[in-house]
Amino acid sequence: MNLLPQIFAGLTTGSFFAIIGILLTLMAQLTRVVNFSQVAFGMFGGFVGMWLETGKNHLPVWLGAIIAAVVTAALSAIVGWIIATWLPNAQMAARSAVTVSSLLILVAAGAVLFGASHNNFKPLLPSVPITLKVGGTDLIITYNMIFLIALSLAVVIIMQLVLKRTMFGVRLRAISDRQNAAELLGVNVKALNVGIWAVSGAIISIAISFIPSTISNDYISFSLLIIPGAAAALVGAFKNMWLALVGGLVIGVLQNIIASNPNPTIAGLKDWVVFVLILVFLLWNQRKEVWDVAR
Amino acid sequence: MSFDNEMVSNMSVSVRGLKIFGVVGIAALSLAGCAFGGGGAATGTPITVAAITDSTTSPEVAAAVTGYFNRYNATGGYKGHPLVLTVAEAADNNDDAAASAASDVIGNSSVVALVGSSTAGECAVNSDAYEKADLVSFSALGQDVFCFTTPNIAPSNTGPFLDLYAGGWNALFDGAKKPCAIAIYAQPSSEDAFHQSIDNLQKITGTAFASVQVIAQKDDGNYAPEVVSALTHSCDAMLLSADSATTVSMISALIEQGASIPVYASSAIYNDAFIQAAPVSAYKGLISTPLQFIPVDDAANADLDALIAKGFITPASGWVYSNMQAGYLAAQNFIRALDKVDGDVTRDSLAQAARSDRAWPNEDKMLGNLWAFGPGKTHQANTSTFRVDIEPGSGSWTHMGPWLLATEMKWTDTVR
Repeated sequence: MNLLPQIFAGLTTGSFFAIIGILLTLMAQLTRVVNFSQVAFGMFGGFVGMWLETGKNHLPVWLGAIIAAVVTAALSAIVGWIIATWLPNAQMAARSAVTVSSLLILVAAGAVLFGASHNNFKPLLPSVPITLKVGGTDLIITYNMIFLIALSLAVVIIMQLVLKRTMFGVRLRAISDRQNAAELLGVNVKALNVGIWAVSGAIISIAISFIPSTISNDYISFSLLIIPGAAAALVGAFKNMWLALVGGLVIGVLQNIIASNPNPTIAGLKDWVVFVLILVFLLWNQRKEVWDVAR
Repeated sequence: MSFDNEMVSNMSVSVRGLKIFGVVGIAALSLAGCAFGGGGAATGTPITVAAITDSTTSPEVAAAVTGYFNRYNATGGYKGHPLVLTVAEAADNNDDAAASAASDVIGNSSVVALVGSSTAGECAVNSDAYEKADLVSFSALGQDVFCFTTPNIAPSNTGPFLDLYAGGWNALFDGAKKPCAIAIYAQPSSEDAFHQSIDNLQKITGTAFASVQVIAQKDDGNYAPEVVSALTHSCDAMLLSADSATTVSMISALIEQGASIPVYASSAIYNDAFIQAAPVSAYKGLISTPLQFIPVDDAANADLDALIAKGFITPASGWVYSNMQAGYLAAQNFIRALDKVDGDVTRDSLAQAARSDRAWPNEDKMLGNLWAFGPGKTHQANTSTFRVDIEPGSGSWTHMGPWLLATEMKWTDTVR
C-alpha cells in the first residue's frame, strides 16, 4: 500500500492542528492559560465570515474573512480581559477553567445564531490541486495546505523574533515570568494580556479561513479539534512552539494513514493517535523521576 | 373507539406525558376553522397520533403531516373527529431520547398510531416495542434497516439501502467499469445492509467494485482519507451514501485530489444548500442522485403545493421539499388505513386495517409505484427512484427520469 498520498493529504489537517498547538503554547507561556476555547473562537469567526459572505450580505469572501478575524479577536480579547481583571493572580488551572465556559458559550451561541443546517466553511483560496510526480506516484498538494503550513511557520518564527529580539518581547516575557514585578516596573500587564488574547483569536480565525471544506464544521465536533491541538502542544510540553508544530503535523499524518486503512477496525483507531502520543509524552517526561514522584 | 368522557379524561392526562414541541391540535383546529370559515370542520373528540422527530434536522415532516391533517379536519375529519399529531422530540441517533419518546407514546393510550416519524435510528431502537404494543408506524423517513424489516413499520421513502443500490445501478448504466463506494452509517445495524446492497448489485450486474468502504460516522466528519484511499484504486465513478453536508465535504476532497469522476450520491443531496455549496459548483464531474419522490417542480406535487399556498404548511428558509413530501405521504397513507377501519378507532383496529390488504394499494403520482403497508413482515413500500443530475457548472438539477423501479433493477429487499 502506497502511503505517500495519505501522508500528503494528512498535512492539511496536521498543519491546522499545528497552528492550534502553537497558539496553545503561546497562550500558556504568556498568559498562563490553557485556552480550551481556542478552536471554538475560530469556529465562531468562521460562521461569522460565512454569514457575511452568503445570503443578503454577500460580501466578498476575503472581506468576510477579515471582519470575522476582527470579531474573533474582539471576542477573544473580552475573555482575556475577564481573566486579567478578575483572576490576575489565580492559578493556571483556575484561569484555564474559565475557557471551558467560553467554549460552551460559543458552541451554544453558534447553534442559536447560525442554525443546525449549514454548509462547511469555504476556504479562502481555491481548492485547485497541484500534482507532484514522485516515483510514479501522484502527490496532491493544495494552496490552502501550503498557506496553513506557511502560517504555522510564520507564527513560530515571528513570535520567536518578537520574544527574543525586541523590547516588547522582553515585556511579554516579563509578564509571563514575574507578573507582579513587571507590574511594579510600570508594565501594563492587563493590556498585554488582552492583546495576546486578541492576536491569538485573530490568528485562529485566519487559519480557519484556509481549512478545506472536507472538514465538518459541526459546532461541537469542530470545537473539539482542540484535543489533537492540545496533544500537539503537549509534544512541545506547552513550552516549545517548534515541537508543537512538528507534533501537529505528525498527528495529522498519522490519523490520515490510520483512517485510510481498509480494515474498519484499524481505521476506527484513528483518534487513539492522540491518546498514545499523550501517553508517550507523559512517560518520556517522567523518565528520570524516581518511583514515588513518577507515580 | 368510543369517545366517552372517561376516555377524554384519560387522554388529556397522558398527552401531558408526551414531550410536545408544538405543532399540535388546538391551534391547528383554529387555523383550519379560520381557513374554511368554520363550516364543516371536525369538532368531535380528537384521534391522536404521534411522531418521533428531530425538529432541528427535519422540521418539514411534522409540519407537512399537521398541514395535511388540518385540511382534512377542516372538511369534517374522520366522521367528525379531528386528527391531532403530537410530536415527541428525539435528536438524530440519540438512542436514549428515541426510546424515551417511544415509551411516552406507547404509554399514552390515546395514541392510535405513529405518523411521520423521521428521527435517524429511531426504528432500530423502538421496533420491538412497537411490535409488542401492536402500534403501527407510518414512518416518513426510514433511515435504518429496522424501518424496512419490521412488520409494524412502513416508511414513505425508499431508504438509504435502495438509494445506494439505485445510485450504483445508474453508475453502471452510465458505463462505469470500476466504481468505488463509500457508505457512512450511524446505526451499526446499517453496516450489513449497505454491504447487502453493494453485494447484490455486484452479483446482479457482474461488475466488481474497485473499492467498497462502509464505515461508521465519524465525529470530525473528515472523510478525506477514505476518498484518497478510494482514488488509489483508479475508480471511474464514486458512489456515496452520506448526508448532504458530508457529501459536500467528500466532493471537496475529490476536488482537492484533482478528480472529476462522476459522483452518484444519496438522495439526501436534493436540497438548495447542496446545489449552492461552493465545492458542488466547482466540481468538474457529473453529480447524480436517485430521488425517492417526484422532483420538486413536477405537477404531481400540485396538492402539496396547494397545502403550502393555502397556508396549511408554512415552509421556513432552508426547508427541504422532499421531507415535506415524505410527511405528506405518511399522512395520506394513514388516512387511507383509517378509512378502512372496522368499528372504533383503536390501536388494534388501525393495525389490522394497515396490515390487511383492503386499504391498499394507494396511488399517488409523487411515487412511481403503488404504496402499500399490508401484511408483510418487511416493508420496502416505496420502490421507485427518479434520477436527477447536476451537469458540471450548470448549478441546476436536470430531470433524467422516468421512474426506475426496484423490480427493474432486480433489487432484493434488505434483510436483517
